[in-house]
Amino acid sequence: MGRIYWLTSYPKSGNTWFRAFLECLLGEDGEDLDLNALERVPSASDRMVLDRELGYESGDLSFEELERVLPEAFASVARKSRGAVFQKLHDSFRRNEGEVPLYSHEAVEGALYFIRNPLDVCVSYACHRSELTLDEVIRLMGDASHGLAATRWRQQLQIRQILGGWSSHVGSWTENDEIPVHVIRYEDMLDRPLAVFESAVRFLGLSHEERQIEGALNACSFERLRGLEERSGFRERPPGMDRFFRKGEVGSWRSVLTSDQVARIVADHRETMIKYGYLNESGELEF
Amino acid sequence: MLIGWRRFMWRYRAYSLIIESEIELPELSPAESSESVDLTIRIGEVPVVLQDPVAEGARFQAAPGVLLVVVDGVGRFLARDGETIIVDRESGTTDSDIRLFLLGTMLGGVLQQRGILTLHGSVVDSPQGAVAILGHSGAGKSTTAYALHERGFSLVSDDLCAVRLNDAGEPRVFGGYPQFKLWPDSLAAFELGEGDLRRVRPVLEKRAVPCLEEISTGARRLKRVFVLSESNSVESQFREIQGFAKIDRLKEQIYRRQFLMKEAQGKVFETLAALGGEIRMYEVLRPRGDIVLERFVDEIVSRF
Repeated sequence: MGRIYWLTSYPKSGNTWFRAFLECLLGEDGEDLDLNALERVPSASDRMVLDRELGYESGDLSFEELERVLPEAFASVARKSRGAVFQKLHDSFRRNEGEVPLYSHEAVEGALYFIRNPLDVCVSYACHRSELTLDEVIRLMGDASHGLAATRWRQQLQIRQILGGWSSHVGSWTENDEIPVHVIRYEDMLDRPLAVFESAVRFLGLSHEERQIEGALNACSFERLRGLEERSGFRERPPGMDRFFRKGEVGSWRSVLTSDQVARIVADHRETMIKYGYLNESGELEF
Repeated sequence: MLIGWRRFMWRYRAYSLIIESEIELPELSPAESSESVDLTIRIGEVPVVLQDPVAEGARFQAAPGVLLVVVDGVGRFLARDGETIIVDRESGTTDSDIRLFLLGTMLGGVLQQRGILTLHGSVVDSPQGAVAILGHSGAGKSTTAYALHERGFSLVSDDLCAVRLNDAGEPRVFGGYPQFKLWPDSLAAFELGEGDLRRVRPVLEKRAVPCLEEISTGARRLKRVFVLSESNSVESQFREIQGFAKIDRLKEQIYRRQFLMKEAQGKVFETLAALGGEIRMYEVLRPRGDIVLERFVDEIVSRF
C-alpha cells in the first residue's frame, strides 16, 4: 500500500517548481528533466486517472457525486502503489456533501503546503489568467466560491477544485486537524533553498543526501526551467500567457500594484499575512 | 406442454451485435426479431463485489469474462462472457441514468469480452472510407464529429469505435447508434438550443443530440484516424504517425483498457495490428479554449 503526500497550494505559489525538483531528485542519474512529463507528481485532479479508477467517465457524474467517490478513488490509487505517492493539488482541504474529507483517509500521510506573499500571488495569478484584470484577481482571492474547472457547461480535463479565498485556502490546510502539514514559504525556497528543500524532503520521508538535493536544485533552477519552457514549451501554461515560468521573483508586486490594490489585499488577508510574516506587527509589509 | 410467461424484450442492433433488452433503449436502432441474439440485457440482482477480481478500481472489478461496475445512486451492472448484462438499479434512479452507463462503459466492456477492438472515439463516414476521431475524455471528439456531421459526413458512432476482423481478416468498423452527446458550450457553437434536448442524466447539463438521419449499421473500412489532444498553442498542429508507432498510439486509445483481460487481448491486438496497416493516422493538437471550429474541421477534412 502506498502512502499519499499531497503537494498543495493556492496557484502560483511554488508548487510546480517543487514538482520539477522532485522529478529531478527521484529521477535516474543523468535523466534529463522533461517539463511536459512531470509524471512522478501527477495532478490529483486529473480526470484521466479518475476515469481509470471508476471504470466510467468522471464527467458522467455531477460534481457532488464525484466528490462522494473521490476519497475511495485516491485510496484505490494508493493500494496499487508502493512507497510514497506524490500528488499535486490546488483544491482547499474540504469535505464532500456527506461530510467526508476529500483529502484525508488512511492512505494519506500528509501534505506539503506552499505559501507565497499574496501580493506576489496576485501579480503572478493575473499573468496566469490573462483574461482577468488585477482588480478581478484581488476580488477572486477574497471570494469564498472561487474554483477551478468549476463550470457545469463544458467538460474540462481537471475536476472541480474549490479554492475559496487565499486566506481560507491557507487556513483550510494549515489548520486542519486530520493530517500533518509541513508549510513552506516561497520566499524561503528562494532565500535558503538547500535548508528549505531538505526539510521538505525529510517530511516526505525521503532519505536523499544533501549532495543529491543540491544536484536536484541545480537541475531545476528557475533559469533552467525557463530555458526548458522556451525550448520545448510547457503544457500546463494556460493559453494567452506568454510563459509559465515568468519571473519567480520576490516583491514584483512593488512595481505592479497600486497602493489602493495593496491596501485591499492587506485588508482582506491581514491575519494570515501577519501569521506567515508577510506583514509585521506594526503593519509594515515584508518582502 | 406448459407455456411460461416471458417478459417483453426489445430488440436492437449496435456495433455489429443483435441486442435483446428488458430495458427500452430508444437511442438504438431496432433489429428484426428473426436474427439470433448476441447480447441480452436483463434486470436482476448483481453482487456487490466479485470473488476473485483480476483487475479493480474504486468502482469496477474485472475477471476473465466478468465485469462489475458500480455507480453510486444509479445501480450495479454486471457483464458476463460478452453475452449478458444484468442491471441492478437503485430506487429513484431514472432510465436515462441507467442507459448512459449501459450504452457506454458496459457496452464497451461487452465488446472487449467478445474480443472486439474498442477504441475511445467517434466515427463518421466519408466517400474515401470511415474516419475515426479518437482521444481521451474532454479532448473534443464528439464536437469534432458533430462538426463533420454538419458538413455532410454521416455518423457511424459517437464515443465508441468498434472494430473487428471480417472473414478475410480485414478490420472493419461497425455502426453504433444515431446520437451525439454534447456539452452546452458545444451546443452553443452549433447554435443548438438546450431547451429541446434531453439531458443525458437529470443531474448533468450534457445533452443527447439525436442524429435525425438513420445510421447504417453495416461494416466499413476505416481509412483515417485522428487522435485529438488539447494544447496551449494558438494554432492546431497535425503530425502524421508512421509505422509501428501507429499501433502504440492506437493501444493508448483503447476504450476502458483497464477492463481488457488477457484472454481477449490476442484477438484485440490482432485487430489492432491489422488496422495499423490500413489507416493513415494523425496526432492532432487542438488549441485549448475557443477555437475557430470551421478552420479546424477544414484541416481535418483536407486529410481525408
